[in-house]
Amino acid sequence: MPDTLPDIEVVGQRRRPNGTFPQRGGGSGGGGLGGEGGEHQNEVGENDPPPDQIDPCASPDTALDWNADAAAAEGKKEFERRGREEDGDDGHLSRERYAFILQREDGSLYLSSIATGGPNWVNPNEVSGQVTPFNVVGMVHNHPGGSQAPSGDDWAGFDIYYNYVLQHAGLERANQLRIYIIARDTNSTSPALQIKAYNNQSSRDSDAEGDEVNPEALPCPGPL
Amino acid sequence: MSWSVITLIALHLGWANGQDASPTIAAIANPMRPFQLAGRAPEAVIQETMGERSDQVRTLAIFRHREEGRSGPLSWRIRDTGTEGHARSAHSEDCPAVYGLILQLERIPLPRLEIRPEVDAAPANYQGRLPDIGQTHTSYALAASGFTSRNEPVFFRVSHLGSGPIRDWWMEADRQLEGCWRSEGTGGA
Repeated sequence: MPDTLPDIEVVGQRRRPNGTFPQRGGGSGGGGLGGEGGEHQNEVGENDPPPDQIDPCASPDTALDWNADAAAAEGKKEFERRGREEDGDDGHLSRERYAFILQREDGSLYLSSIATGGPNWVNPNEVSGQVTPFNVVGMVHNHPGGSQAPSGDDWAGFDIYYNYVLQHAGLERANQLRIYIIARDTNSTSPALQIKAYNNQSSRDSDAEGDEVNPEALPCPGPL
Repeated sequence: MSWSVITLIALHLGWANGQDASPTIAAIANPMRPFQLAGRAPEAVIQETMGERSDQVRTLAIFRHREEGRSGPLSWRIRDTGTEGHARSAHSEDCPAVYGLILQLERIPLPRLEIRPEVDAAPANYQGRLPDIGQTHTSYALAASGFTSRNEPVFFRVSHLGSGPIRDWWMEADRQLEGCWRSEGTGGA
Protein backbone atom coordinates (compact mmCIF):
# COMPACT_ATOMS: atom_id res chain seq x y z
CA MET A 1 0.00 0.00 0.00
CA PRO A 2 1.43 3.40 -0.86
CA ASP A 3 2.32 5.73 1.97
CA THR A 4 0.54 8.72 0.48
CA LEU A 5 -2.69 9.14 -1.37
CA PRO A 6 -3.32 11.66 -4.10
CA ASP A 7 -5.86 14.38 -3.41
CA ILE A 8 -9.33 13.57 -4.57
CA GLU A 9 -11.36 16.34 -6.13
CA VAL A 10 -15.02 15.69 -5.68
CA VAL A 11 -17.47 17.24 -8.13
CA GLY A 12 -20.76 16.12 -6.74
CA GLN A 13 -24.23 17.50 -6.15
CA ARG A 14 -23.45 18.78 -2.67
CA ARG A 15 -23.55 21.85 -0.53
CA ARG A 16 -21.91 22.91 2.68
CA PRO A 17 -23.88 24.48 5.56
CA ASN A 18 -25.92 27.49 4.41
CA GLY A 19 -24.90 26.87 0.82
CA THR A 20 -26.97 25.85 -2.16
CA PHE A 21 -26.80 22.79 -4.33
CA PRO A 22 -24.89 23.20 -7.59
CA GLN A 23 -26.68 22.84 -10.87
CA ARG A 24 -25.00 21.27 -13.85
CA GLY A 25 -22.25 23.64 -14.89
CA GLY A 26 -21.74 24.84 -11.31
CA GLY A 27 -18.62 22.79 -10.79
CA SER A 28 -17.61 21.60 -7.34
CA GLY A 29 -18.17 23.08 -3.94
CA GLY A 30 -21.87 23.44 -3.59
CA GLY A 31 -21.96 26.78 -1.84
CA GLY A 32 -19.56 28.02 0.74
CA LEU A 33 -18.90 28.17 4.43
CA GLY A 34 -20.35 30.68 6.87
CA GLY A 35 -21.21 34.03 5.36
CA GLU A 36 -20.23 32.92 1.91
CA GLY A 37 -23.05 30.43 1.79
CA GLY A 38 -26.50 30.92 0.50
CA GLU A 39 -25.63 32.23 -2.92
CA HIS A 40 -26.52 30.21 -5.93
CA GLN A 41 -23.48 29.22 -7.91
CA ASN A 42 -25.42 28.86 -11.05
CA GLU A 43 -28.99 29.76 -11.78
CA VAL A 44 -29.01 28.30 -15.27
CA GLY A 45 -30.64 25.02 -14.35
CA GLU A 46 -30.46 23.78 -17.93
CA ASN A 47 -28.45 20.89 -19.19
CA ASP A 48 -26.09 23.11 -21.11
CA PRO A 49 -23.48 24.66 -18.84
CA PRO A 50 -22.16 28.17 -19.33
CA PRO A 51 -18.99 28.11 -21.44
CA ASP A 52 -16.73 29.26 -18.59
CA GLN A 53 -17.84 26.57 -16.14
CA ILE A 54 -17.10 22.91 -15.85
CA ASP A 55 -19.78 20.53 -16.96
CA PRO A 56 -19.57 17.64 -14.46
CA CYS A 57 -21.06 15.33 -17.04
CA ALA A 58 -18.38 16.08 -19.64
CA SER A 59 -15.74 13.86 -18.06
CA PRO A 60 -16.13 10.33 -16.69
CA ASP A 61 -14.15 11.32 -13.59
CA THR A 62 -16.42 14.17 -12.56
CA ALA A 63 -19.53 12.43 -13.83
CA LEU A 64 -18.88 9.58 -11.39
CA ASP A 65 -19.21 11.92 -8.41
CA TRP A 66 -22.25 13.56 -9.95
CA ASN A 67 -23.93 10.25 -10.69
CA ALA A 68 -22.99 8.64 -7.38
CA ASP A 69 -24.70 11.49 -5.55
CA ALA A 70 -27.74 10.97 -7.77
CA ALA A 71 -27.70 7.26 -6.90
CA ALA A 72 -27.61 8.14 -3.20
CA ALA A 73 -30.62 10.42 -3.70
CA GLU A 74 -32.39 7.60 -5.49
CA GLY A 75 -31.53 5.35 -2.55
CA LYS A 76 -33.08 7.82 -0.12
CA LYS A 77 -36.28 7.93 -2.12
CA GLU A 78 -36.43 4.15 -2.31
CA PHE A 79 -35.74 3.78 1.43
CA GLU A 80 -38.55 6.24 2.12
CA ARG A 81 -40.93 4.41 -0.20
CA ARG A 82 -40.21 1.10 1.48
CA GLY A 83 -40.46 2.69 4.91
CA ARG A 84 -43.92 3.96 4.06
CA GLU A 85 -45.08 0.68 2.57
CA GLU A 86 -43.49 -1.77 4.99
CA ASP A 87 -43.39 0.13 8.26
CA GLY A 88 -45.91 2.95 7.93
CA ASP A 89 -43.09 5.48 8.25
CA ASP A 90 -44.05 9.07 7.64
CA GLY A 91 -41.21 11.56 7.27
CA HIS A 92 -38.72 9.34 9.08
CA LEU A 93 -37.29 5.85 8.75
CA SER A 94 -37.82 3.48 11.66
CA ARG A 95 -35.57 0.73 10.32
CA GLU A 96 -32.11 0.77 8.83
CA ARG A 97 -31.69 -0.02 5.14
CA TYR A 98 -28.56 -0.51 3.06
CA ALA A 99 -27.61 -0.64 -0.61
CA PHE A 100 -24.43 -0.68 -2.64
CA ILE A 101 -23.92 1.75 -5.53
CA LEU A 102 -22.60 -0.22 -8.49
CA GLN A 103 -21.25 0.74 -11.89
CA ARG A 104 -22.13 -0.84 -15.22
CA GLU A 105 -19.56 -1.32 -17.96
CA ASP A 106 -20.93 1.75 -19.79
CA GLY A 107 -20.15 3.83 -16.70
CA SER A 108 -23.72 4.35 -15.53
CA LEU A 109 -24.59 3.61 -11.92
CA TYR A 110 -27.35 1.64 -10.25
CA LEU A 111 -28.39 0.56 -6.79
CA SER A 112 -28.03 -3.03 -5.62
CA SER A 113 -30.91 -4.78 -3.93
CA ILE A 114 -31.80 -3.14 -0.63
CA ALA A 115 -31.26 -4.87 2.71
CA THR A 116 -33.62 -4.07 5.56
CA GLY A 117 -32.58 -4.49 9.18
CA GLY A 118 -33.75 -3.21 12.55
CA PRO A 119 -33.80 0.13 14.36
CA ASN A 120 -30.02 0.34 14.62
CA TRP A 121 -28.56 -2.31 12.35
CA VAL A 122 -28.70 -3.83 8.89
CA ASN A 123 -26.64 -6.57 7.27
CA PRO A 124 -24.92 -5.45 4.02
CA ASN A 125 -23.93 -9.03 3.27
CA GLU A 126 -27.55 -9.80 2.42
CA VAL A 127 -27.26 -7.70 -0.75
CA SER A 128 -23.56 -8.00 -1.59
CA GLY A 129 -23.98 -10.76 -4.15
CA GLN A 130 -23.55 -8.43 -7.14
CA VAL A 131 -20.60 -6.55 -5.67
CA THR A 132 -17.16 -6.93 -7.21
CA PRO A 133 -14.01 -4.88 -6.60
CA PHE A 134 -14.44 -3.46 -10.10
CA ASN A 135 -18.05 -2.35 -9.93
CA VAL A 136 -18.57 -1.05 -6.40
CA VAL A 137 -18.58 2.74 -6.16
CA GLY A 138 -20.14 3.31 -2.77
CA MET A 139 -22.55 2.35 -0.05
CA VAL A 140 -25.66 4.12 1.21
CA HIS A 141 -27.54 3.44 4.43
CA ASN A 142 -29.72 5.32 6.88
CA HIS A 143 -29.42 5.98 10.60
CA PRO A 144 -32.85 5.91 12.26
CA GLY A 145 -31.28 7.27 15.44
CA GLY A 146 -30.34 10.51 13.72
CA SER A 147 -26.54 10.31 13.71
CA GLN A 148 -25.44 11.97 10.48
CA ALA A 149 -21.86 10.71 10.54
CA PRO A 150 -20.67 7.14 10.03
CA SER A 151 -20.32 5.22 13.26
CA GLY A 152 -16.94 3.87 14.31
CA ASP A 153 -18.00 0.47 13.04
CA ASP A 154 -19.21 2.06 9.77
CA TRP A 155 -15.69 3.40 9.28
CA ALA A 156 -14.17 0.04 10.19
CA GLY A 157 -16.40 -1.59 7.58
CA PHE A 158 -15.52 1.10 5.05
CA ASP A 159 -11.82 0.43 5.59
CA ILE A 160 -12.36 -3.29 5.01
CA TYR A 161 -14.23 -2.61 1.76
CA TYR A 162 -11.59 -0.03 0.77
CA ASN A 163 -8.80 -2.57 1.23
CA TYR A 164 -10.79 -5.16 -0.70
CA VAL A 165 -11.11 -2.81 -3.68
CA LEU A 166 -7.53 -1.60 -3.29
CA GLN A 167 -6.10 -5.11 -3.37
CA HIS A 168 -8.09 -6.27 -6.36
CA ALA A 169 -8.72 -3.16 -8.44
CA GLY A 170 -6.05 -0.69 -7.38
CA LEU A 171 -5.74 2.67 -5.67
CA GLU A 172 -7.70 4.74 -8.19
CA ARG A 173 -10.71 2.51 -7.87
CA ALA A 174 -10.43 2.35 -4.08
CA ASN A 175 -10.31 6.12 -3.81
CA GLN A 176 -13.62 6.30 -5.65
CA LEU A 177 -15.35 4.49 -2.81
CA ARG A 178 -17.71 6.63 -0.80
CA ILE A 179 -20.25 6.17 1.96
CA TYR A 180 -23.56 8.02 2.24
CA ILE A 181 -25.49 8.37 5.49
CA ILE A 182 -29.17 9.28 5.45
CA ALA A 183 -30.48 10.73 8.70
CA ARG A 184 -32.77 13.39 10.05
CA ASP A 185 -31.24 16.80 10.58
CA THR A 186 -31.08 16.88 14.38
CA ASN A 187 -30.28 20.59 14.35
CA SER A 188 -33.58 21.36 12.71
CA THR A 189 -37.18 21.03 13.78
CA SER A 190 -37.87 19.74 10.29
CA PRO A 191 -38.25 15.97 10.03
CA ALA A 192 -36.58 16.05 6.61
CA LEU A 193 -33.96 13.42 6.01
CA GLN A 194 -30.59 14.55 4.75
CA ILE A 195 -27.90 12.72 2.83
CA LYS A 196 -24.29 13.25 3.92
CA ALA A 197 -21.32 12.08 1.86
CA TYR A 198 -17.97 10.77 3.10
CA ASN A 199 -14.92 9.17 1.55
CA ASN A 200 -11.48 7.93 2.50
CA GLN A 201 -10.26 11.46 3.10
CA SER A 202 -13.14 12.51 5.35
CA SER A 203 -12.54 13.22 9.00
CA ARG A 204 -13.24 10.23 11.20
CA ASP A 205 -14.32 12.55 14.00
CA SER A 206 -17.84 11.55 15.03
CA ASP A 207 -18.84 15.25 15.05
CA ALA A 208 -17.49 15.95 11.56
CA GLU A 209 -20.43 15.82 9.17
CA GLY A 210 -19.91 15.45 5.47
CA ASP A 211 -21.27 17.64 2.72
CA GLU A 212 -25.01 17.43 2.15
CA VAL A 213 -26.10 15.77 -1.07
CA ASN A 214 -29.01 17.20 -3.03
CA PRO A 215 -31.96 14.89 -2.27
CA GLU A 216 -33.32 15.68 -5.73
CA ALA A 217 -30.01 14.94 -7.48
CA LEU A 218 -30.33 13.46 -10.95
CA PRO A 219 -27.70 11.59 -12.98
CA CYS A 220 -26.04 12.85 -16.13
CA PRO A 221 -28.18 12.25 -19.19
CA GLY A 222 -27.39 9.18 -21.27
CA PRO A 223 -24.53 6.68 -20.94
CA LEU A 224 -21.06 8.05 -20.25
CA MET B 1 -13.98 -16.57 8.48
CA SER B 2 -12.38 -13.86 6.43
CA TRP B 3 -9.08 -12.44 7.61
CA SER B 4 -10.18 -8.90 7.06
CA VAL B 5 -13.03 -8.89 9.54
CA ILE B 6 -10.55 -9.47 12.32
CA THR B 7 -9.50 -5.96 13.14
CA LEU B 8 -7.07 -6.83 15.86
CA ILE B 9 -5.34 -9.92 17.05
CA ALA B 10 -2.56 -9.47 19.50
CA LEU B 11 -0.54 -11.75 21.67
CA HIS B 12 0.59 -10.02 24.82
CA LEU B 13 -0.35 -6.71 23.21
CA GLY B 14 -2.89 -4.07 24.13
CA TRP B 15 -5.51 -2.06 22.31
CA ALA B 16 -4.28 0.46 19.79
CA ASN B 17 -3.82 4.00 20.98
CA GLY B 18 -4.19 6.05 17.83
CA GLN B 19 -3.58 9.36 19.59
CA ASP B 20 0.14 8.88 20.12
CA ALA B 21 2.77 9.92 17.62
CA SER B 22 4.37 6.53 18.25
CA PRO B 23 1.34 4.43 19.09
CA THR B 24 1.81 1.44 21.28
CA ILE B 25 -0.63 -1.41 21.34
CA ALA B 26 0.73 -2.60 24.66
CA ALA B 27 -0.82 0.35 26.46
CA ILE B 28 -2.87 -1.75 28.84
CA ALA B 29 -0.95 -4.51 30.58
CA ASN B 30 -4.03 -6.44 31.68
CA PRO B 31 -7.35 -5.68 29.98
CA MET B 32 -9.25 -7.73 32.54
CA ARG B 33 -8.42 -5.54 35.54
CA PRO B 34 -11.05 -2.84 34.85
CA PHE B 35 -13.74 -5.50 35.13
CA GLN B 36 -12.71 -6.93 38.49
CA LEU B 37 -15.30 -7.84 41.07
CA ALA B 38 -14.61 -7.93 44.81
CA GLY B 39 -10.96 -7.39 44.09
CA ARG B 40 -10.64 -10.24 41.59
CA ALA B 41 -10.15 -9.84 37.90
CA PRO B 42 -12.22 -12.00 35.57
CA GLU B 43 -10.69 -14.86 33.62
CA ALA B 44 -12.07 -13.52 30.36
CA VAL B 45 -14.09 -10.56 29.11
CA ILE B 46 -16.35 -10.54 26.08
CA GLN B 47 -17.94 -7.32 24.88
CA GLU B 48 -20.64 -6.34 22.43
CA THR B 49 -20.80 -2.74 21.21
CA MET B 50 -23.81 -1.50 19.26
CA GLY B 51 -25.51 1.68 18.11
CA GLU B 52 -24.98 4.48 15.63
CA ARG B 53 -22.89 6.21 18.28
CA SER B 54 -21.31 2.98 19.61
CA ASP B 55 -22.92 3.82 22.94
CA GLN B 56 -24.60 0.51 23.74
CA VAL B 57 -21.95 -1.64 25.40
CA ARG B 58 -22.70 -4.94 27.07
CA THR B 59 -20.01 -6.94 28.83
CA LEU B 60 -19.90 -10.57 29.84
CA ALA B 61 -17.11 -11.30 32.33
CA ILE B 62 -16.23 -14.84 33.36
CA PHE B 63 -15.21 -15.36 37.00
CA ARG B 64 -13.83 -18.38 38.79
CA HIS B 65 -14.94 -18.73 42.39
CA ARG B 66 -13.84 -20.89 45.32
CA GLU B 67 -14.76 -20.09 48.88
CA GLU B 68 -11.83 -19.38 51.17
CA GLY B 69 -10.57 -22.39 53.06
CA ARG B 70 -12.50 -24.88 51.04
CA SER B 71 -11.04 -27.41 48.70
CA GLY B 72 -14.27 -28.23 46.96
CA PRO B 73 -14.92 -27.87 43.29
CA LEU B 74 -14.68 -24.55 41.63
CA SER B 75 -17.75 -22.69 40.59
CA TRP B 76 -18.04 -20.36 37.65
CA ARG B 77 -20.00 -17.23 37.05
CA ILE B 78 -20.77 -15.21 33.94
CA ARG B 79 -21.53 -11.62 34.92
CA ASP B 80 -23.51 -9.45 32.51
CA THR B 81 -23.29 -5.67 32.74
CA GLY B 82 -25.14 -3.47 30.31
CA THR B 83 -24.99 0.11 29.21
CA GLU B 84 -27.19 1.29 32.04
CA GLY B 85 -25.09 -0.38 34.71
CA HIS B 86 -27.54 -3.12 35.60
CA ALA B 87 -25.70 -6.30 36.53
CA ARG B 88 -26.84 -9.89 36.62
CA SER B 89 -25.05 -13.19 36.87
CA ALA B 90 -25.43 -16.80 35.85
CA HIS B 91 -23.84 -19.38 38.16
CA SER B 92 -22.58 -22.83 37.35
CA GLU B 93 -24.12 -24.24 40.55
CA ASP B 94 -27.61 -23.94 39.20
CA CYS B 95 -26.95 -23.41 35.50
CA PRO B 96 -24.91 -26.17 33.81
CA ALA B 97 -24.78 -24.12 30.62
CA VAL B 98 -22.26 -21.75 32.23
CA TYR B 99 -19.42 -24.26 32.25
CA GLY B 100 -20.33 -25.53 28.80
CA LEU B 101 -20.16 -22.00 27.42
CA ILE B 102 -16.72 -21.49 28.96
CA LEU B 103 -15.51 -24.62 27.18
CA GLN B 104 -17.06 -23.36 23.96
CA LEU B 105 -15.28 -20.05 24.35
CA GLU B 106 -11.94 -21.83 24.73
CA ARG B 107 -12.69 -23.67 21.52
CA ILE B 108 -13.88 -20.83 19.28
CA PRO B 109 -12.15 -21.00 15.92
CA LEU B 110 -9.55 -18.28 15.88
CA PRO B 111 -8.43 -17.38 12.36
CA ARG B 112 -4.81 -17.51 11.38
CA LEU B 113 -2.97 -14.30 10.71
CA GLU B 114 -2.85 -12.94 7.18
CA ILE B 115 -0.24 -10.32 6.55
CA ARG B 116 0.03 -10.74 2.79
CA PRO B 117 -2.86 -9.55 0.64
CA GLU B 118 -4.82 -12.51 -0.68
CA VAL B 119 -4.32 -11.34 -4.26
CA ASP B 120 -0.52 -11.52 -4.14
CA ALA B 121 -0.38 -14.98 -5.69
CA ALA B 122 -3.75 -14.85 -7.42
CA PRO B 123 -4.35 -14.93 -11.17
CA ALA B 124 -5.54 -11.70 -12.74
CA ASN B 125 -9.17 -12.79 -12.98
CA TYR B 126 -9.49 -13.60 -9.27
CA GLN B 127 -11.81 -11.12 -7.59
CA GLY B 128 -12.26 -12.68 -4.19
CA ARG B 129 -15.42 -12.16 -2.19
CA LEU B 130 -16.53 -8.99 -0.49
CA PRO B 131 -15.65 -9.48 3.20
CA ASP B 132 -18.66 -10.20 5.41
CA ILE B 133 -18.71 -7.42 7.99
CA GLY B 134 -22.01 -8.58 9.47
CA GLN B 135 -24.58 -6.13 10.71
CA THR B 136 -23.76 -2.45 10.90
CA HIS B 137 -22.90 -0.58 14.11
CA THR B 138 -21.96 -3.82 15.82
CA SER B 139 -18.65 -5.17 17.04
CA TYR B 140 -17.39 -7.80 19.42
CA ALA B 141 -14.21 -8.09 21.45
CA LEU B 142 -12.64 -10.79 23.55
CA ALA B 143 -9.85 -10.50 26.11
CA ALA B 144 -8.47 -13.61 27.75
CA SER B 145 -5.19 -15.14 28.72
CA GLY B 146 -3.40 -18.38 28.01
CA PHE B 147 -0.03 -20.08 27.96
CA THR B 148 2.28 -21.29 25.25
CA SER B 149 3.63 -24.82 25.20
CA ARG B 150 6.72 -23.41 26.91
CA ASN B 151 4.71 -22.01 29.85
CA GLU B 152 4.88 -18.45 28.57
CA PRO B 153 1.81 -16.39 29.50
CA VAL B 154 0.04 -14.61 26.67
CA PHE B 155 -2.92 -12.27 26.42
CA PHE B 156 -5.40 -12.74 23.63
CA ARG B 157 -7.25 -9.67 22.45
CA VAL B 158 -9.42 -10.29 19.43
CA SER B 159 -12.11 -8.10 17.95
CA HIS B 160 -14.27 -8.14 14.87
CA LEU B 161 -17.27 -6.43 13.38
CA GLY B 162 -20.80 -7.80 13.30
CA SER B 163 -19.92 -11.24 11.98
CA GLY B 164 -17.39 -13.68 13.36
CA PRO B 165 -16.65 -16.31 16.01
CA ILE B 166 -17.10 -14.07 19.04
CA ARG B 167 -20.55 -13.04 17.84
CA ASP B 168 -21.44 -16.70 17.27
CA TRP B 169 -20.44 -17.51 20.85
CA TRP B 170 -22.29 -14.43 22.13
CA MET B 171 -25.54 -15.42 20.45
CA GLU B 172 -25.19 -18.95 21.81
CA ALA B 173 -24.54 -17.60 25.31
CA ASP B 174 -27.62 -15.39 25.09
CA ARG B 175 -29.69 -18.39 24.11
CA GLN B 176 -28.30 -20.84 26.66
CA LEU B 177 -28.29 -18.46 29.62
CA GLU B 178 -31.86 -17.31 29.21
CA GLY B 179 -33.55 -18.35 32.43
CA CYS B 180 -30.21 -18.63 34.29
CA TRP B 181 -29.77 -14.97 35.17
CA ARG B 182 -29.93 -13.78 38.77
CA SER B 183 -30.16 -10.10 39.51
CA GLU B 184 -27.00 -8.81 41.10
CA GLY B 185 -27.21 -8.90 44.89
CA THR B 186 -29.39 -11.94 45.27
CA GLY B 187 -26.59 -14.39 44.65
CA GLY B 188 -23.64 -12.59 46.23
CA ALA B 189 -20.23 -12.03 44.77
